[in-house]
Amino acid sequence: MEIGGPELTRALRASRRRQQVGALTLVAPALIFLIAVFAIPLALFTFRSVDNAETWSVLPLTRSALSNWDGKDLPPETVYAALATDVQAIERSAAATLGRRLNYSEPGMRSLIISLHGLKLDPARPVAAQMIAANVRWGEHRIWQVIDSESGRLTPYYALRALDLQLADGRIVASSSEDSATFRSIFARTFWISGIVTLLCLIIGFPVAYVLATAKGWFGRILFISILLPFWTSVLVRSMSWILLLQQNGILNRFLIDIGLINAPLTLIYNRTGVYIAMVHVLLPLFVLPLYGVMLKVDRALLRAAASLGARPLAVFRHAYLPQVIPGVMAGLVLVFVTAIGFYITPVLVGGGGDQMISYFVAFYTNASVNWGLAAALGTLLLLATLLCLGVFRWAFGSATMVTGR
Amino acid sequence: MKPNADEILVRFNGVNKSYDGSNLVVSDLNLEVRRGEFLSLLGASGSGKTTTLMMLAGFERPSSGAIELGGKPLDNVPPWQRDIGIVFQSYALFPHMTVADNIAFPLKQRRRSAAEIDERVKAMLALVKLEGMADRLPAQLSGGQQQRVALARALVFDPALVLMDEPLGALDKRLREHMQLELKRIHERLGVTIVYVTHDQGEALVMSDRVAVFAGGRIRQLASPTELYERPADALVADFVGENNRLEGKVTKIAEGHCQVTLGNGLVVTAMAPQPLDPGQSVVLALRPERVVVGAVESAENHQTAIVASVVYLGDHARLELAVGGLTLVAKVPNDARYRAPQAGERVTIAWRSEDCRAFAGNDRN
Ligand SMILES: Nc1ncnc2c1ncn2[C@@H]1O[C@H](COP(=O)(O)OP(=O)(O)O)[C@@H](O)[C@H]1O
Ligand SMILES: [Mg+2]
Repeated sequence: MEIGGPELTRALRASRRRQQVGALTLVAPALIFLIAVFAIPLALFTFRSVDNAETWSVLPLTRSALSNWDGKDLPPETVYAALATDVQAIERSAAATLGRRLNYSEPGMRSLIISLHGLKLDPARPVAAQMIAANVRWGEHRIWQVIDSESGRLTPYYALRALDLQLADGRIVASSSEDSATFRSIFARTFWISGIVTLLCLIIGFPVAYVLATAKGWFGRILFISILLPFWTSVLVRSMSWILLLQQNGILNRFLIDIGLINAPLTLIYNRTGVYIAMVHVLLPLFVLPLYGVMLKVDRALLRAAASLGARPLAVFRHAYLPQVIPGVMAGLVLVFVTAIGFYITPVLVGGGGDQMISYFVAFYTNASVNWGLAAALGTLLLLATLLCLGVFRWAFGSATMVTGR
Repeated sequence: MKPNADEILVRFNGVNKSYDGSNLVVSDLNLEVRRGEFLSLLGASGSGKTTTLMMLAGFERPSSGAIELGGKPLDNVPPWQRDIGIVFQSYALFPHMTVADNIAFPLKQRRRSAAEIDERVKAMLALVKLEGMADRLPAQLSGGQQQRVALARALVFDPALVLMDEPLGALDKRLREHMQLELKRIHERLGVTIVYVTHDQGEALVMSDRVAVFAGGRIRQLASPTELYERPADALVADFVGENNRLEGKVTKIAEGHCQVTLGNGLVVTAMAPQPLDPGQSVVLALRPERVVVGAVESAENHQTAIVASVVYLGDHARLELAVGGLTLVAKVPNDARYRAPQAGERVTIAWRSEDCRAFAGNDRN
């Protein structure tokens, strides 16, 4: 660098800077798009899983009054007054939201809050006595503990709940919520289904990729298109065809009965079998395509070398072929598994109640029972599981492999 | 240590090969490889050399005809039972195996004992001078070293026959010349039969006992390097092996083995006629540049007067361009103590012996 003196160094730096600015300009639209539709929503969504705005923002007076409470006995009159003022200052719908949120932690909170919202209070008398008179539970120590612990800016409630845990008296214990949907077993089910689907894709997809990579002419092209077809077909069209094919007196059952293989129709849809069939169908291209790419580039001289050195076909496969395509297999497996654990619509369409995966519950808590915090916590756990898979793969095979399969 | 030179190890009997069912890539191939010899298949790219090798190795089937190895037909013998070592141009080393594991591979496939494998691998590493590299991966070796590993791997199981497909093609010139001598040393040491494919005529001449010149899927000449250089069978071989002056003319007289040719500019010369020719036929004369005598006496055979058009100095020799009555001839003259190369513009007498000039039928250009 010093040979040309400082001017040369400066000129070189300037030219490199110009190149970098140029490159940045080219990717700017993609970058802005990604930030706007992916990074920001993802961050907001993830934050939802610890966000406590529903209580925090509507209880400003209560919070400051509670800060003087020692937590031993019932809180002082000021806390009762502050809560009553906070609750009666908000809309009825906001009060309902607050009630629902607190109800997650303590059953009965919902009706307590809603009735407090409508309670006529005599300003001349102590608020505490009036509230306890309206509902004796306002005299329970436990109620005030819940309000105290659930009025912070952030809450561990959703994250714990997503793992079937909760906080009780400062300790993490098993969840006691009445709709305790045992998320741990749903996560286990999600990984199990994804694992089976991945395994099936490996067993079915490996020979298919091999044939694709070696077949020539029209046969290869037809095979290729039939593998890719599910990729291009709308999920609704696909599920209609599965139903036609797999239902009780569907095409497959009638065929099997006609050829005498079975007597009574098999249950192939609205159960786990249906989920496996449909998911493998959808995900197979994801396994086959990267592997196909790798198989196309297999060095045939290596196979010939092995055979000429005395290796029988099986030994050629084991020593010369497999080592060359293993990165493609791994890339395919990870791609299928990571995609499978996020599956939602296919299990909904062809599965039964016990076959729904974690994304179903994310959607359920987002749409049906509006519990965005729990939806976000479940989604974030799913995201972490995905990143963990990718991390393990990257650690084992290097980052380039993940993209190119090489 | 060469075995009986007359024993035939490989025999191609009327072998034809077509990949697409219409174009013959190898046609009517009849070739015998003697046990212990170093035979080269020499030809331009696309002339069918690799195809011939792959049929012998068992990776391609002849469309018709038969191949025998050691007197037994190879038709239904799969590659892994042929016991033929192959060195590929790309080396084809197993990238995930160490040098030692690569060399041990054929022995492991043959279920040899660990002790024997160990000993054989050591001996091979010594033979190809790679002691101390046993635990490296192929990617950690230079091209020349990988080449040696590939060679060791092809030799370690004592195959009767070793095939090499342009094994030195990827090496630079110095290393290639070094490896040529190394291969020759190993061939003499082990007495193994080698069929060697190359498009480099120099390489074929240096290494081979015999050379088969391929063109368009046919063998044009099968002969020793000397024979090939001194007495090429046709214009194509003459062109392919070594450098030549090509002079076009017409046959005016013919006598057994000799002919008189009138060149385009009216000069009359005599030449050898290895192929049957007719008077009046168009011919091409092939004349090696180093066989043109510059500064000859007036009484010599085929003497002409020429002007030196240019001189290119090349150290141990010089290349002259000579203008001879409207034709241009290239001559190579030595640069030694007894000889002084002429200067450009000088008028000289040149000549050549008719044994050094060969006439081939002129339409034979393919
Ligand atoms: N597997 C193949 N399929 C179709 N054509 C081939 C195949 N291998 C070689 N060819 C054709 O056969 C001819 C001879 O090829 P090859 O034997 O490789 O020649 P060489 O080794 O002398 O360069 C070439 O025209 C080539 O294109
Ligand atoms: Mg070739």
